[in-house]
Amino acid sequence: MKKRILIFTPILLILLGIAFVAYNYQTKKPPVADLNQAAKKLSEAEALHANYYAKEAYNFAKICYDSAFHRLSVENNRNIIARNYDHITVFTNKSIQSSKEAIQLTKDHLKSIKGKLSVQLDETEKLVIDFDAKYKHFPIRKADKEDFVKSKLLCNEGRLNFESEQFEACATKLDWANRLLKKLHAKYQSELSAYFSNYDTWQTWINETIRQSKQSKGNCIIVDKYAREARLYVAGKLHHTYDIELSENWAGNKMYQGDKATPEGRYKIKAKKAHGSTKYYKALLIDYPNDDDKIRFNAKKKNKQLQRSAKIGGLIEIHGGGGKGYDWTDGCVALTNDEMDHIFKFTSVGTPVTIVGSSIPLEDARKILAQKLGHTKSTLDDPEI
Amino acid sequence: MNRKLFLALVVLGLGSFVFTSCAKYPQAEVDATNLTIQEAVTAGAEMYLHEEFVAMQDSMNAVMVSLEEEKSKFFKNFDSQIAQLTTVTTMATDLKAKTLVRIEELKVEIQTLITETQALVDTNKVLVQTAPKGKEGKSALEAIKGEIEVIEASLAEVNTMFASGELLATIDKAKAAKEKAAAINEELNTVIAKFQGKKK
Repeated sequence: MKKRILIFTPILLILLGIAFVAYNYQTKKPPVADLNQAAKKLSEAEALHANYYAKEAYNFAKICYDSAFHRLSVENNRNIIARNYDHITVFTNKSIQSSKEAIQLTKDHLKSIKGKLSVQLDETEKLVIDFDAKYKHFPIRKADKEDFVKSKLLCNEGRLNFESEQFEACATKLDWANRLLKKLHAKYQSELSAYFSNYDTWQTWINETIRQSKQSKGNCIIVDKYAREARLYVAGKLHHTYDIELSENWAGNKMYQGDKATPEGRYKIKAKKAHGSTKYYKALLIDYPNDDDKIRFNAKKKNKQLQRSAKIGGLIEIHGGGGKGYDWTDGCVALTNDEMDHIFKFTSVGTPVTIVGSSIPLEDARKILAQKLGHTKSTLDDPEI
Repeated sequence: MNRKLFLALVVLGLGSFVFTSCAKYPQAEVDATNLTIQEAVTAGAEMYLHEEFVAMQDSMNAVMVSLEEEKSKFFKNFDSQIAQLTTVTTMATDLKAKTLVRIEELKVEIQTLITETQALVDTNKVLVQTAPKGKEGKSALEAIKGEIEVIEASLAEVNTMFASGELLATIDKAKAAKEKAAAINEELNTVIAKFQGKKK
């Protein structure tokens, strides 16, 4: 009996041991589903670039996942009886939670940045359109023209970056373009305002010229440089409006010969040049310089604002050859040949020609421009620019 | 009798040892797959084919979890995981190849854009030269020359970026330069046509 007990006890113990181990293998299973879910969420976050847009939350999720996986590996290397997978579930839960947070943060961030950039893109494109429209014919310096072209390029690059969802690059380009454009707007806004400071004088000249036309029942011409129009008045009433082209440096009064500026003042037609006697089809020569021009020129020369060798210039005409679409004269006013034929019939030597910067105040000019651009509120009215 | 019992215990022990350790963890296969994935990363898969790269990584994570699951079992059999590792290796190899193809496509696209933009710039320069000279066209042509200079500067930047391998950033810059060069080309042709129309 004793011998049997000695034989069967170890067998029983071994069988019990095996049963215990088998029970452990059966009950202690790694939380594979949790791990897979955590990995999936992490991938989902990474696909959205959460590692970039929600770095903190993503990194925490990744650390938790790596910890869970490391823990699983460590536990699997341990004896089955000593294995404990509880910590893994804690890590996977944290990882899933953090991944979800990273995904939400990324989605919110993308929505917000897309909205912001879309607005910024519209604003920048509007600044480009406005500057182009407002200063299309305004004398812009070479360096500023280059900055304007650069800003247009940056704006285009920003748009392409936006379309290809490279939001950081898009923001950088748009910021740069915006800075350049706002600087240009501010600079030329100030120059334009300074130019329009002569508006009251221009208005007086226009009123006087039209009044005289009305009184004498004669004709007169008003050249509005800013509106790029020449207006023919018959007996004080507007009879016809002509589109004009000017010189490249038209914004300002003529100071000296070769400054490529169109003079401003009250003049008269000095001579009519028929077809064949001018290279610009037909021409109306005006009596620039008048007495005011001469006084101003001499004063500037005396004050050494002009070089001693400077000359006052002359030969300012209303002539044909226009319709090119840009400013190309040396200070003259160009009309198309057809319109030159028209104005030629209504003028004679002595017809008054008044040349002004603008016939309407800057604010009204802005409103007209804004209407042309189709803006209810243009950036032209924005006090910041 | 004692001897028989001892023999039974030895057989039982050996059997357990054989069953629990006959399937070895496929470390060599895991290493080989990781190496292929690393090659895809080095090729730029994460940047140029992000979604496919993430999908491949997802598959690898699933295989690694499955391996650990198998490791935790009493009777291990890694055959299915080895097969999965082979699939991921194939995915990584394909991805690397696709990435290299995508990079080449981008390079060709950028080079084409550079060539086309440069051609437009050259044409614009010729058009500027052949455009009406003298005071009539001077100011407008000077402005256009300025614009061409800006595009050339931008093109130089594109070339530098291209040489440094910033392909995704380069392509948008090159596209913008081409758009601008094409706009100038159109503007120049319009101005010249207008002038020629006037001459007639």
